[in-house]
This record gives sequence, C-alpha cells and structure tokens, in this order.
Amino acid sequence: MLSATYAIWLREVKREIRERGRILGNLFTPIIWLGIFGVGLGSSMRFSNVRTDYLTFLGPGIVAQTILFSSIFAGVSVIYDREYGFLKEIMVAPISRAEIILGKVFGGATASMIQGTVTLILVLFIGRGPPTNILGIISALGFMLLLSIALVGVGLVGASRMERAGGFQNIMRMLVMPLFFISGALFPLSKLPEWLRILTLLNPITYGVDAIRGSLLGVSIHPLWFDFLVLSGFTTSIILLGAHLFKGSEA
Amino acid sequence: MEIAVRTVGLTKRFGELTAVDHVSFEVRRGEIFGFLGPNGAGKTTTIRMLTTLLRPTEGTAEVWGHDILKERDAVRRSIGIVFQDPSLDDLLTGRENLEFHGRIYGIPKAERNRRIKELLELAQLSEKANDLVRTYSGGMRRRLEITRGLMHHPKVLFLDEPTLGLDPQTRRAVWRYIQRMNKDEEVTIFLTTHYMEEADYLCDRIAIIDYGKIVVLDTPEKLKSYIGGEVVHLKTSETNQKIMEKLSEEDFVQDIRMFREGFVLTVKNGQRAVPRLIEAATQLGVTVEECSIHRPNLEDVFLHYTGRRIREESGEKLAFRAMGMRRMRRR
Repeated sequence: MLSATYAIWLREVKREIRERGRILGNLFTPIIWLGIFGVGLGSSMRFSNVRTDYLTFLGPGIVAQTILFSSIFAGVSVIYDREYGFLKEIMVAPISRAEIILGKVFGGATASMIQGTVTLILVLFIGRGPPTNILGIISALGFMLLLSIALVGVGLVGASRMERAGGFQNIMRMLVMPLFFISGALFPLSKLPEWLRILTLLNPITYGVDAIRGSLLGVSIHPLWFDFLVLSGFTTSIILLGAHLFKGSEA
Repeated sequence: MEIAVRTVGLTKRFGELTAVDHVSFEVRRGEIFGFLGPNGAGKTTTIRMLTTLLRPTEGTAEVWGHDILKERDAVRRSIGIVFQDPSLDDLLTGRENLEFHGRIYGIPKAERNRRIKELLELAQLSEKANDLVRTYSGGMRRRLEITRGLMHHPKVLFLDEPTLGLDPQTRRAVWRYIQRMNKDEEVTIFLTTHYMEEADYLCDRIAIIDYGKIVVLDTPEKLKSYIGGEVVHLKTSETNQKIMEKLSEEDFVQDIRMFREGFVLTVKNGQRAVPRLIEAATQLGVTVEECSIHRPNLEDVFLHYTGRRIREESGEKLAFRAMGMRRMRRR
C-alpha cells in the first residue's frame, strides 16, 4: 500500500532537488524581502507594539511566505503532470486515489520544507533577535511542516479546478498575495481596524505565521496550542476536500 | 481458442458524437492485433475503455477474463499501456522512470532491479539508463515507454499509435522491438495505428475501423486477397459517371471507384489492362495523365471497404504537428 505513496513522494523530492534553479530562485525572494524590504523599512521605523526590531519581526513571516509559495506551487504541480502526460501513468495504475493524494501531499510538503528550512537558516543568521533555543527551532519546524501540508492541500484543491497551468499565475495573483498580506507576516495584527482584523483571523496562514513567530521569538497573538488546533483542523479539512475533488478528475 | 480481449457491443458516445459504435471483436492470446483507421475513427477511445480510463456508454469488454467495469484493478494489473502522447518524467532518469513504475505496481525491490536490468538490455538502453530522459531521442523515449509498460509482466500490452511522429528509420527499430517483446515476453499486443505499413508489417490480424465501426477484420494477407488481382490508379483530365460506367464495361475490370482526381480499378492483369484502359479513355475524349499498377495493399483494402482513403498525408501532418506541440510544451 505505502509503496505507491513512497514512489510518488520520492519523485517529488527528486524533481525538487534537480530543479536547482528553483531552489536558488526561491531563495532570491526571501533575500529581497529581508534584505531590502526588512532592512529598508526597519531602518527608519519601529512598531510600538512589537518588542524586537522590524527585521527580526519580519523573519518568521518570510519563512512562512517561502512555505506558502512553494507549497501552493507543489500542489498545483499536478496540473503540470497532467499537461506533460505523466499523470496518466499514475492514474492507470492499480492504486487508490488516497495513495496518490498522500504521496503528492507529503512530496510537496517535503519539497516545501527544503525551501522553508533554507529560509529559516537565513533568518536565524541575519535576524539580531534573541538567540533562539533548540526547542523553539524544532517547534518552528513542526509548524512549518503543518503549514506546508495544509497549503499543498490548497494547491491540490486549486489544481483540481484548473485545466491549464497558466491558471497558476492567476491563483498567485488572486489568492496567494492577498493571503500573504493579511497573514501578519509583514505587520503586527494587534492594532488593526476591526474589518481587517477579522479578515486576518479567517486566514489560516495567520496561525502559521503566528506559531512560527511564537516559536522563534517567544511572542505570539494566540497560544501555540491554539494555533496548532486551528491549523490541524484546517489541514484535515482541506486534504479531505482535495481528495474528494481529485476523485472526480480525469487524467 | 484462448481469448485475451473480448468486446461485446462496446459503445462510447460523447454527446451527439458516437466515437465507438457497437464494436465487438476478440483478440487471441499471443497475437499482435491491430486497430487500423484514420484519425478520429475511435481507436484511442476504444483503448481508453479497455484500459479502464473511460466508462463505455453501452456494451462491455473483458481483458484477460476480467470485466472492465467490475474488476477494474484486476484489469489494470493484467495490462501495460503506452499512450499516444508522451508520459515519461523527463526530469527523472530512464532507470528512475522504471523504478517509479515498479513501485506503484508493488514489485518487490530485488525483482524490480532484476527486471529493470533485463528490460533495459532488451531495449538497448542500458548505457543511457542513468541519464535524464530529457536527453533521450524520440525513438529512445518510445522504447523506454514500451519497456515501462512491460515492467509488471502484463498479459496484454496496449500501444496507442506507437510510432506517431517518429522518423521512418526509428519507426522500423520500434517495430522490431515490439515484435521481439511479443515473442520473448509472450505478451499479447493490441495496437492502434493509421500507418498502413505498420499494421501490415506488425499485425497477425487487423481490424479496420472507420467512424467508430469495425469494417472488416482478418489477417493482412486475407484482407489483401479479398481485393484480388491488381490495383490500377488512373489520373484523368476529367471524371464523371459516364466515364466510370464505360470503363467498368471492360471485362477485365473487377471493381472501379471514382475520385476527384481520377479512378482506382481492380483488374485481373494490370500490364495488359492498362493499355486497354487508356485506349477506352481516349475514345471517350479523356486524357490519362498518370497511371500506376501495384499489388493490393491495406490502403486499397481500406478504400475498398470505406470508399475513402485513410489519408496518410494528413496523418503525417498531424504527426508533425504533435511533435511541434511537444517541443513547445517542453518550454
């Protein structure tokens, strides 16, 4: 049973490692955000409701951003498989849809974790925040994984509703960027106007950003257990939804 | 008779269009069976139904004794498939593509490795096994796909237009590989093609399919012998019913069909018939511009039964376009 899931996982990981350009390219984005946006904004601005300097505050948000982009992309990659014909090879095998979904989700999450960890290391080195303890880093990695799985699920759901890979660009514009902006990655949420605060609370990524920041810096809006509950609930529902939609899709 | 594939009234409708229309046939174990017909005749749709990727609208089929609707997984384990469009992962090596296949079909590691080694040698791909598929030529990709389809010891191998878009030389190499697999692996082969020579060269038996229906089914030799005599193509300055009637009055003419650019006749003795045909035409005031005699081939068979040409030239164009598209899609 797990053999097929393992095969699909392994393929995703191999492809991720082989697309060296992708790893470097994806590292470029966090460097720009941290190095230019973070340093630039932080040089003349300090949030009154944040204890640390801006760059340190921003770091965990950029880790979450890396996860966000690479996970959604991994989920949507099903479309590329369909377009390049490889999906047929999987769909005609005597295996269940559940095995395929599991392989895709864990494969995508692993690829995303590789990216996220690279960004995390970057953040740990350039942030001048309090030295984080090992436990905090492990906790952050755990939340990153949970967030990855959830967002690969989002990508899969998106993929099941898209015919062509070009649609991915639209998803990025329509969904991913707004979600990123209202996730608390760039600014603290505690003094937002009510309507915007509600939007951020409806955004599942908010809890990921909050938990990663909480793990690394020790400050969070919600207790970590609460973030964990919300994220796990969301992850479970989105994967089930993805599996359901995938069932009806054809190679 | 041991049966590999049996269909009974297999039908698929897409809205108004009936792609496959009450098709019934049997494929014998061990043979190379061909579905020959023009593009859009329903060949791929039939394969998609037999391989459980598409549900028939009506009728049913058995593959190696398993019902395609009720025993989907058993059917899937009994078959290998090579799709018309490429379906390899070109960011993986040849070996990795095979390993992937072995894993999703649950083949244990030791057997998988042994099988990969054996099949790569047969496909003469051992040296390229650890290169990314990206670097493979069209013929190598095709052989790798066939190899992959054989990994799990299928009983029936489905090949959908296996040489579409390949150059003639590569096509021959793929043909020989298919024949060898048929013998060495004792696998029954079901293939579709719109290339006459391909069906003629490879197949033990051929079903000619047109507009979703089987027109005729037999061995290539039998099919050709149905035509009898020789086939004469005449290109004439004009064509009309009167000329056709006049020509058909000649006692050596067995069959005559009219086309826009001339006539196709079946005659008893071509070399003697041609001068007399030209003479008859001249008497009617018609000039014969070109003329050829040949022994009947499958194109003539197709023409005989459908009144249409299979239009190989359009097939070539399509193949060319498919290749161009593939290149584009590779970014």
